[in-house]
Amino acid sequence: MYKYILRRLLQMIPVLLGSTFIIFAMVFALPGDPTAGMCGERPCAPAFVAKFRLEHNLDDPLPTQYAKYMVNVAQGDLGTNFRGIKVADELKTRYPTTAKLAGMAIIFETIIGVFAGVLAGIRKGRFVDNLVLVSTLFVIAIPIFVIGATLQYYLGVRWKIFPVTVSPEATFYELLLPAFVLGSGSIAYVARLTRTNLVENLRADYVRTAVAKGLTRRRAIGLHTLRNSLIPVVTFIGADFGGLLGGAIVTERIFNIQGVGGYTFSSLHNHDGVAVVGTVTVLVLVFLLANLLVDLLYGVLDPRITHD
Amino acid sequence: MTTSETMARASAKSSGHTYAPKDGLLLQVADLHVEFHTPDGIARAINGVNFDLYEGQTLAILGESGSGKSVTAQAIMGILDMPPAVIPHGQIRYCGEDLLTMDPEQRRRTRGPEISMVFQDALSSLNPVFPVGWQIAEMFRVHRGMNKSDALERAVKLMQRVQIPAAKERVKAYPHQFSGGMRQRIMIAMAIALDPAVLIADEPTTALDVTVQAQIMALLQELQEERQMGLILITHDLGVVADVADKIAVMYAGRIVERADVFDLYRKPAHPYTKGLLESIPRLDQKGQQLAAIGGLPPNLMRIPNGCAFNPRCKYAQDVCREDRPALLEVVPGRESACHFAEEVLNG
Amino acid sequence: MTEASTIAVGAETSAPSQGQDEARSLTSDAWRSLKRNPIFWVSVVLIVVFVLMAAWPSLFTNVDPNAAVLKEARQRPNGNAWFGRDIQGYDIYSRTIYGARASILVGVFASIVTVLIGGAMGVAAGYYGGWLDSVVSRITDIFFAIPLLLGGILLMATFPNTVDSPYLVVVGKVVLVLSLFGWPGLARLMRSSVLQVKPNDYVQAARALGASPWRIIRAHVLPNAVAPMIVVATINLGVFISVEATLSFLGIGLTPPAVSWGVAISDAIVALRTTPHILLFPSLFLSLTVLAFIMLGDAVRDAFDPKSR
Repeated sequence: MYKYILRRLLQMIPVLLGSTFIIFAMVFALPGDPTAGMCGERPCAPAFVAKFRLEHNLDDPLPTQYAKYMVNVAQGDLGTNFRGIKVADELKTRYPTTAKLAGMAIIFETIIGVFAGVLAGIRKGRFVDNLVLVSTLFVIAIPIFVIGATLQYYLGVRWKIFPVTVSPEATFYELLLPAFVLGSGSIAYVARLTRTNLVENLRADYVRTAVAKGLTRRRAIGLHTLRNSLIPVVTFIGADFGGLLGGAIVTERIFNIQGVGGYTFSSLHNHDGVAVVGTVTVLVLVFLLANLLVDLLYGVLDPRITHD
Repeated sequence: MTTSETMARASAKSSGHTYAPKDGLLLQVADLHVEFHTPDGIARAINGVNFDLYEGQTLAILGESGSGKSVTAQAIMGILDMPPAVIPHGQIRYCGEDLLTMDPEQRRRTRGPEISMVFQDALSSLNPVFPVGWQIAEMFRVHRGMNKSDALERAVKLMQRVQIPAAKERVKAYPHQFSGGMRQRIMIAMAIALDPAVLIADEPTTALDVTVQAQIMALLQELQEERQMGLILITHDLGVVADVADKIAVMYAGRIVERADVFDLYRKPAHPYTKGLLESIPRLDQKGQQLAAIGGLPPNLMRIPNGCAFNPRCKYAQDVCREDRPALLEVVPGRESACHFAEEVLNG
Repeated sequence: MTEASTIAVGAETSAPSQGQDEARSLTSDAWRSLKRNPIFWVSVVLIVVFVLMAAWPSLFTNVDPNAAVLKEARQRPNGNAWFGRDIQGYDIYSRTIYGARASILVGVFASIVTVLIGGAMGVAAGYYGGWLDSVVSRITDIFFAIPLLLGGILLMATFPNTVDSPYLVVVGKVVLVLSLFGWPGLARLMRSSVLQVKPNDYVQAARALGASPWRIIRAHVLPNAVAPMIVVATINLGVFISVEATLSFLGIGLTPPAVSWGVAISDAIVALRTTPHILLFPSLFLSLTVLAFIMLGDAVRDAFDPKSR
């Protein structure tokens, strides 16, 4: 197991270097003015441009630029935004809210998604199954910001069931609706994936064995079949984590949440390139780590993986 | 069946059996029919099967794919997919109680402690994500309410009983970490865990190497003798059952077409289909001659021919075979055949 | 026996019933089941309508989408403006019809480009193997590590549109972004299906007969390995349209004066509390388009993979 973790960590390094290099190249090295849009609709003052180029080592050769940038990132220096506040400090105060939001969304995904998927799978072809299949398709097709704005309007503004916006404290109750919105698409995917896998696995020989062993239907499905069906679901949740982080930017904007996503949006809005790049780089790192975690979990869930 | 054996079974009852056989009669399958209702029509997989199984008896059910032998096993075990499967007629009596009309919960409790089953492909039949010991121990935990460590201890003993080397160390290993033969032993250990009265083995050796096949058959026979189980051995391979079975029932298109003691049947078949099967086995003394295969294909179960289902492939077939379905009748004492020309076949 | 109701019949019991039917090829079988699937027809009809809308919006409306009637702004649906008017007084029906073009263009072109890149990468990695596989697979991993929306935000934030960016540049940029971060999934899929096809006897036979790699790939590998990628690419087309709208919502995708559903929705959300009809119509059209492509992909997948039925 430790060997496996080590191998995975080593494999992650080139991916990490590669993806950060791409991010870096996109922002600083591609032809084009990296300060474009930073000063509103007008071109920036030459003094600002010169200062920016110096700060970001833009006159060095590309590999040196990248190395210097990475050294800074490794030291937790993500640059300074246009208000003169360190991006890393901004993120430090904001990440707990986003972590809470994303965590709740994943819990929703897992609980509601798996439950709906199981319900549909064991009643394949019946009303519940069709209901789940059709409703999830609609949830997937409607963009998250439409779902968010609509639910916010009806559940928050009109019927006053949930708070309309989230205070800086971001309490559990305030985050319920935003987390549900953030997780909605993934809930739908998880439900469909669980259903498909459950239906397929219910035909497996080992389920027949489970019944022949005299197990109850509840145990044969809830333990033997579901355990196997959830392996791909875990993989999906890991791969989908990136989508969740992107979605957080949208959700935090809609519900005015003071998290990392909201910060990304306001930085975008203010054309604050340094802040956007720093934040997104961190989000990509988090995504990579989440994927590693899921890979390890996968090894635990599916004994055929680690032991080969 | 001697009195002492009956006593043995009766005493077994105190060790966990809810039902006791009368005069050693464990299982009675009577006029069993199974149909599969598919979008393309009704496939009649079993069309009136009758047989009895006694304690200590080994009954082999022989047939090609689609003959209904596996469906029979699954119907007894109660693991048919219903729908599409439907059982329009018939009874499956276990110690006098009809399993088909039994309350589902009561029936569930018979699976494992009373009747149990070994499947063909142990790799896919064992759950890939649980250790083998856990899967064996589950029998004790679910049916006997044992705690985890006691149940695991029993699992180790069973693994030792089926001759798995280093059972203690391997109890936490997963199915994919065993060889095919070892996996089938684990399957068997799981099936005999609760000392069932009836064991059904559905093609237990088909997926294995020839040398391993013999070992597994020997193990099954040994366990059967040790525990005086009624053993139903489902196979398409005449060679596998020859040494083990007491009686053989040959199935074709969902019916038993011949039934006899194993040596009688091998020596002189009384049904053209059995005769064809025996002739299609390669023999050393026939070297250089052409192998006799049965011409034609097994019938489509949605359109079973009128009369005798075997008539389109039968060299004995006459008009009567295309009109009247022959019943399974005694030809000579202890031998039954469902053929209008059974005596000619037997003597010819 | 109810608890056994989910256990499948042993395969051998159903085999003989099919054995005598004439052999049908997978493709014609799939087409037969597709033709019977109402979902397939619903999605095809929807897609045809939306494509017509994108190509010839004047077939559906003769109202100029850029003709603002300010004094009628926020008007609810009426006989004159079927879907009502938006905040700036534009006719929502006309804007919605004209908005199809941007979404369809973005979706179709991003799909084509990702299929080309992903397909080429996947075939290269899967067919040639060895060091080429290692290199291509690592590159795929690297791009896969950057989530589509995050990558999109980065690139679009670095190269923002200005008011006078030409329409095709605006659309092209979005296509570029979606393609750049959308291909790795297809490459992985293609690689694994090529790996499945490659060991088959017909491929080995063609190799033994000395056919050139290019010919083997074109004649034997691609036709047998391309189906799963096409299915996913179809579904992705819907996803791309949705992501484009999200970028527009964040103010960095398509930007005015480009008429697009994403921009329209983004503008309408501000006014949701007073005039929900402004949000309803572009969202409805956008969702139906996404839905149509997802349903089409699902239907094709089901047809080719009878197991999932």
